[in-house]
Amino acid sequence: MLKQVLFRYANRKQLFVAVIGTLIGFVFLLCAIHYFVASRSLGEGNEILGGNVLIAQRKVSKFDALSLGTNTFEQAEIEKLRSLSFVKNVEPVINNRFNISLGMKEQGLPYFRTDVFVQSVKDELMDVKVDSWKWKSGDEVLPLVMPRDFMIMLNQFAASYGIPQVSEDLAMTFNFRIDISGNGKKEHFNARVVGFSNQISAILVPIEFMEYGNEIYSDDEPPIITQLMLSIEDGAYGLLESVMEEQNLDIKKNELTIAKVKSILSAVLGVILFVSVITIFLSALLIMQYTQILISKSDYEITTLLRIGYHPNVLSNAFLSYLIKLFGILFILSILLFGVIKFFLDQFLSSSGFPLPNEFEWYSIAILTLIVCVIIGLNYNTIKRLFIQRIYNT
Amino acid sequence: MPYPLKEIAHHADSIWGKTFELNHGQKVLLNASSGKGKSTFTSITTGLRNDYSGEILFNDKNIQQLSLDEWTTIRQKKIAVIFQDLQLFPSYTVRENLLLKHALGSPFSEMEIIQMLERLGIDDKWNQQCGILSYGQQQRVAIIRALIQPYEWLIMDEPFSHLDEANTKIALKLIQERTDDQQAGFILTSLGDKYGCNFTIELNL
Repeated sequence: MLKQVLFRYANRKQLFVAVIGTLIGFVFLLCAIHYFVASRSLGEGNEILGGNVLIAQRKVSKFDALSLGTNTFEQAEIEKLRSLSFVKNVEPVINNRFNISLGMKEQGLPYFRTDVFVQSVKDELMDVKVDSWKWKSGDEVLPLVMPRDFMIMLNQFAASYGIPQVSEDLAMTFNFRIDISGNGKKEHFNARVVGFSNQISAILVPIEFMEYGNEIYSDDEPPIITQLMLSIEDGAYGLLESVMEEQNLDIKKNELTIAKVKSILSAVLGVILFVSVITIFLSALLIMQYTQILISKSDYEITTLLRIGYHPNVLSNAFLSYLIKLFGILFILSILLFGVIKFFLDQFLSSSGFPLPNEFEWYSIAILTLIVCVIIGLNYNTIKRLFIQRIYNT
Repeated sequence: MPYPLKEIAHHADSIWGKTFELNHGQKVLLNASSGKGKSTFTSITTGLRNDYSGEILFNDKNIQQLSLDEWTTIRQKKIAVIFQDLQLFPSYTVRENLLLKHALGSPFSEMEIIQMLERLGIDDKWNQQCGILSYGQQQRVAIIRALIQPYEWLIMDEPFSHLDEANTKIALKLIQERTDDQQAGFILTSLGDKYGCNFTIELNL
């Protein structure tokens, strides 16, 4: 009976508009937060969409062709890059300063031997995580990481000569022989491919092997750094572009593309998040206004109820339970809608090459819960204050 | 002294601006011509207005210092009021109006309430909207609403203004029975009519 009196003047049309607005805002918020958090983990553990690690080198200019330009990095330049706010880490890519050749004698495959050049990078910046990526003198096998581009090229070569193509798994079973020489000395090692990289265009060797080779088999010339590995913050593509321009750097196109995509994704989701917050704010205002209009229209009823002995808390609790029901339904509906959108969106993103984690990001639901509690709390306090004022209405 | 009545000239025997005491169980007549503050008295003593100077004590406590909880308890159990403007819900039936009050705590069953309505001759209006009753019938509903709650004081602001003599007598009898049952008192504001009742005190505004 009490609720019948208090909600006598409820305007369903007005409420419907406020509810739809709030529902849209809630769903936007859930989507934005969920995908914002999920996109942070985009590519983690995935070789193709690796973390924001890029390889930079100097742009080749006409001066380089005339040996008038410089394509190396000095320590001061490396430190300068390290000091940039969006740069997490900068490490030089170490090149071999000794002669090295790779040969293979495997049954069923043509014998080959070729001079190669190898590189080493710090383990944490590698896009391939290999358990056995350590080496010390005396080890039976030297692990190698091949560039994936090399395998593609090799298979194209094989196909054109009618030779069976080699899969990555098969390549990892081959026995290779590495010969190194320099300073009048030479040594050979058995080697095996333990992984494939999308980042580096050269064969990677463990840093311990590189240091061993450069120390014993090279002259005493100081090392030349021609490439750097940069690890940057998410969404820093724009800043990176300006630094590249300023320092005349060149970065592999597909790495740049990935960084750009992640930046754009972050920006878009940030905008959606902002829009959803505005939508929720406006809808919450609408609902607050709706309840205030309702109270205003029921002024006589509320005043009379208070005068005949109803406690303001009893009346405001009736509104509180109404708000809890209303927002409870909105909360559940928005999660269900979000679940449906997520199902289709995840499928679309996965098929477009952006596989995101399948689980719900609980941050989004936690934040939505907090927002709902704040809206209910604010409404409740306003209503309570209005009721207390009504007692003294004359 | 209520602030709006400060500038008005009052009779020498007006209670405004004076000290007086009303004791438990007394039957008080408050006489006043129009505009002297009968409804103001009702509003102030029931905590609906606090625009006055001076002090009003209820059970030795200054009513301006009573909390919201205390006032709610007083309105539910200690002071019943028949407002001059009735304060009924016109869109709701007699039954709904009375049950809204009944929900706050009443010793009467629905049947007993209907019997009280029967004594006042409006039991047939039980399911009728209050808004379509005559003013006199509405006054009787307002009287019953006040009587169905427990009280120590019943404050009545011109409760019989639209009742004929016969109905006034019946209503007054019912009020006196109910008040005596609880050993309570009542305060009746009037334009001068005593309604044939014996009052313990007669005060003027």
